[in-house]
Amino acid sequence: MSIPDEEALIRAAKGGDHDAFNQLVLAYQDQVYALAYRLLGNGESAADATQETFLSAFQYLHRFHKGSLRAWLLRITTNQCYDMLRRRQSHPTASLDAVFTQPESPDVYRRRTTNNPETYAERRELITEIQRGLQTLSPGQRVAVVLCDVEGFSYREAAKVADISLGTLKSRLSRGRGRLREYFFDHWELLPASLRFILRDSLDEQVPPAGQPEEQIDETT
Amino acid sequence: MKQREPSRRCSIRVPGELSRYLDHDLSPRRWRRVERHLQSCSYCRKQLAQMRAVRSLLRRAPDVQPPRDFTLSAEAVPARAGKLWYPRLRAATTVLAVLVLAIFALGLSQPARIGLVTLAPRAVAATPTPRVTSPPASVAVAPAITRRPAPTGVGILATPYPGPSTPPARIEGTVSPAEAGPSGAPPAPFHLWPVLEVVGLSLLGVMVGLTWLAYRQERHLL
Repeated sequence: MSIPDEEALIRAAKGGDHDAFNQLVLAYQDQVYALAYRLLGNGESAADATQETFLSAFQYLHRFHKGSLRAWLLRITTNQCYDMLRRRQSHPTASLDAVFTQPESPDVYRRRTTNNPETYAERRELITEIQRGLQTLSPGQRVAVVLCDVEGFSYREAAKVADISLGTLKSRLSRGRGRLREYFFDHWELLPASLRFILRDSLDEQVPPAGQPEEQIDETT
Repeated sequence: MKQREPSRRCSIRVPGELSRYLDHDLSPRRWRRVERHLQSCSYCRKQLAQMRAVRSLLRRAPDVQPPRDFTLSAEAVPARAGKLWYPRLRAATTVLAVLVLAIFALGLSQPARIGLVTLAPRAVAATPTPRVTSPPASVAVAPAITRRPAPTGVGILATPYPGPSTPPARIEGTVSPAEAGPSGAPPAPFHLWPVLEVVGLSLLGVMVGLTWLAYRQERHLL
């Protein structure tokens, strides 16, 4: 997805036109911020990462020659977030509660599709619980799950954004999904009703056809 | 109450293959294998259904809107960065690695260095402080001056001295001309190459470290 006249804006921005660069910022800041927020789980940190992303992008725009500007910006964002997470791991200062942000404005959580008439409170609850789940993943797994399952990137695009091989991405994605599945379904009773409703609504367990035996189970204690 | 599934071994890898099955990312043969397994394994069917539900939940996650604009003001616009360090450091490290290899190759091919291996026992023995040893007992270096009946008129001055057949005193550690080799010259000094190799390897280690650091800092801009 690119904006109209993106190439012209990039050319102008490379030539030093910072109004043209700001047009690009306005076009992509939502996506950059959203990715940073989901990776870091904190509005303030996400704002810092977003600002650093666009500062780096302006400084090194002359290095961007071809391809998707969106992927390039998100790649910078991902690496900024990795660095912040590593610094946070080595110098933990905030409590777990501080990870879950308070909304800065009434419109901070937008409805993604018009078919889901959730209220603002429901959206806030939903994103808070999703963030709780994402925080149980390692940084690498979180990046893979956010890029593929939240942002909708293909395997190849996500691997490029995350700067990892395709095999590594698939491995982290599968482990991340497995851990999220464990988190949500092992804590079923603790989940808000709205979340349980969504998950139950999505479950479509298949019933085995009559007459077919179960596979031998090698149970270990 | 926390629901726990008993540990089990299935014929497919969970969650690895289930995750790829969900995304239709398996080869036709593996796809059929997973399909057959799912028909008869309720545990994996449940895992797959729950994984699908979580993916659906994530896709419905509301968008998050930034709290402000991130456009750059004229005062905050940073200077354009110069060239990246990583490509330059990588090129320099490659050149240095070739030089170090060349130093090793040249050093090993030096004749003096090859000679070091064969002459080492004698040469090493030559290094310590030389000792003077007496020649075989049958020959005196400086025989005692003895008085013997002098022939008439000669007296005490007729002091016997070792004749020409007596070999001179030998200082251990030296190489006699006969033993010095065809050219007669001692081996050339060869301590330069090890020094060059050590210095080269140390520099190469430093450059590799700097290159790796530059890569970590700039990888997202490459």
